[in-house]
Amino acid sequence: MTQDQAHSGFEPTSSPGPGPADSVVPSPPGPTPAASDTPDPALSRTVRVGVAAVLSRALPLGVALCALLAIPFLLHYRADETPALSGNVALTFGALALLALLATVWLAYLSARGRALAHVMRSVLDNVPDLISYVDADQRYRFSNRAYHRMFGLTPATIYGRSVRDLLGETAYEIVRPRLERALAGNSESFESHIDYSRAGPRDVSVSYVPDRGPGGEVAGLFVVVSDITRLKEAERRERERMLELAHAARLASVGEMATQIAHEVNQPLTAIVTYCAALERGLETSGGDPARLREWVSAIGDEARRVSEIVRRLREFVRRGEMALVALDLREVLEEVVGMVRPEARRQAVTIAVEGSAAPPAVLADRVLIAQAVLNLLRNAVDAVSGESPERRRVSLRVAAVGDRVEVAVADAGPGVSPDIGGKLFESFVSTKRGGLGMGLPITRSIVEAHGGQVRYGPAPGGGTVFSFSLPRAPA
Amino acid sequence: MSQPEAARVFIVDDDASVRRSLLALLGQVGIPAAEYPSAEAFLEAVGDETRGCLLLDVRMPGMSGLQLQEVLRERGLPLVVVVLTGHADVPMAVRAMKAGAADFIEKPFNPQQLVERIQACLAAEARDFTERERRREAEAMLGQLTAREREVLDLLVSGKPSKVIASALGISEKTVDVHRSNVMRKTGTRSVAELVQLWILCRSGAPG
Repeated sequence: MTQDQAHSGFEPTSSPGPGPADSVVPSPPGPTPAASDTPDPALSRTVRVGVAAVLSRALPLGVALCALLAIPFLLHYRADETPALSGNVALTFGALALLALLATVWLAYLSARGRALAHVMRSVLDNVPDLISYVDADQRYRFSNRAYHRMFGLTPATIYGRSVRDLLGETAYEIVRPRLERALAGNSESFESHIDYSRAGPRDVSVSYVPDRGPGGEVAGLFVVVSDITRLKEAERRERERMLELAHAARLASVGEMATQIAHEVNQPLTAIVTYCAALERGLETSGGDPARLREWVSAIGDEARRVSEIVRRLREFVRRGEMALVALDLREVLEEVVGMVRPEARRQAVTIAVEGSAAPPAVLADRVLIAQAVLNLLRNAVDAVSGESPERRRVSLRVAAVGDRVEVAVADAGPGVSPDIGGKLFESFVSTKRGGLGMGLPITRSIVEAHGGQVRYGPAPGGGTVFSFSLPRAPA
Repeated sequence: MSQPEAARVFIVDDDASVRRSLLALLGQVGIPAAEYPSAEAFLEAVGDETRGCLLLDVRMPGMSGLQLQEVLRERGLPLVVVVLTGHADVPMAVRAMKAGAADFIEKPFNPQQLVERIQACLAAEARDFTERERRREAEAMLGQLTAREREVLDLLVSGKPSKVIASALGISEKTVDVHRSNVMRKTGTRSVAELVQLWILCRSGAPG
């Protein structure tokens, strides 16, 4: 126990006084509660060390005093022939010796109890994995448990009195400084952070600062608890990476599935094309062929060829990733271009398309072809969604507007909305509500938008229908 | 005997473009054809006297090509089946052939080859058909014979002379000759050789 005291410079022995038990912990070498109230830490320390020194000698002093007082008393009663002292004086000495003995025993008891208590608390604090310390108003360590030793490689004695800035290092200190200052102003602070300590390297930590208020309400220091959550965070990171790998594997699997699907999709129109060609050849050879019929076959061949190229184009857009040509883009221009592509089809289905919002939105950094594709898919879906509606509901609106530091594109239709049972699978490949749909429009749009750092959202449109939207970051000026 | 239908090609595929293009091609080649968007639609249209070649897509929503083959076999329809498939899938091909398909063609096919194969199938079907018809006729003719005439015929085609037949059946040689001329008259044959041919035709068609 004496070693322990020397090790920490910490003498809690004789604090049976009025101070609360836990004040033992933060007020380092001063066991006397009066000392912890002392405003000047240097002075308080001197006083505490003095008191401790006296107390550490109290037991031998008590024993010596007791023996000294007992001598006259014993002399008086042994030399019965000529008592050197009067009986009363001898008795007084005897009583005093007894008193001194009792006081010494009492002191010894208190000292042992205090030491035992302090030992238990010290062991508990040292065996807690978290870093626990007390920092005074000058941001100097007044107490630290063994976890500090483990993390920073410094003994409590060398940490004692060191400034927070010095122990943590400049970089780390700058991170905790605002929190530390707020805590010293009287607010409890709790935060998680990634901190690069000069002595311990980078760590993920969870930190709590609890102000220690003196009797007058002023903040005397801080109780500091720091948990090293580096491993926890690493496990979380690994888990996230694993999930990403899984998602990637799932995507690859769906690409394989898609290849089979694509082969089938492509084979049908190709079959029709070669067959029509053969029919045409024979029709031309026999020269008895009906010209109207031959023309019909030629246009059928064209339709089928377009069907193939559409599938191939969709496939290419789907597969293509990461090789984007980013340019500063006017989204309004892109929208108008896409509307131009869809308008003939929309006109056939008597669907009106309106472009609203900002006429000259801020430029975004994006791949023109890909973004046009993303918008095209949404617009086609919107036109298809309203094609079965009554004439006054057959309208689709596109909107582009700056929202904060991003530019948002929204495509709204007045159609029947997204049915809840398909909602969750809306962005999966080959999920389609359209007859003959490949179910690749929304997955492609999502892939493109995500590759640009955005996210596709959808929700009910005001006045019925659905609105799909995404936003892209503004291009740096 | 009901008038048999003319042989045709039946196109069963869920893809309208493929059906229409095949119809156009076969029309140009002069092969009568009909198209059906599904196995179910074809089964509704098909009758017991339907004959011809079935161009069947294996991959269809609803009843698959293989299931349709099964149904046709159960109904005993003697259609020649040519299976069309989107991609070279060996297990599927094996199953189709096991189910009795005559041919297996991968899409997209060479139309010239397709036409040739269809023509070959139709020719085979026509041969089968005449064979079936002749057998039916032979059976009808042999059906006119009396039990005694049938006994004489069986011994006759196994090459026994009249004398042996007579002793085997316990009748006079003259009676055997009368039976023989009756058999030849009823079957319209002029020689024992022709009689043997007819007899073999009948036996080959007999079930079991």
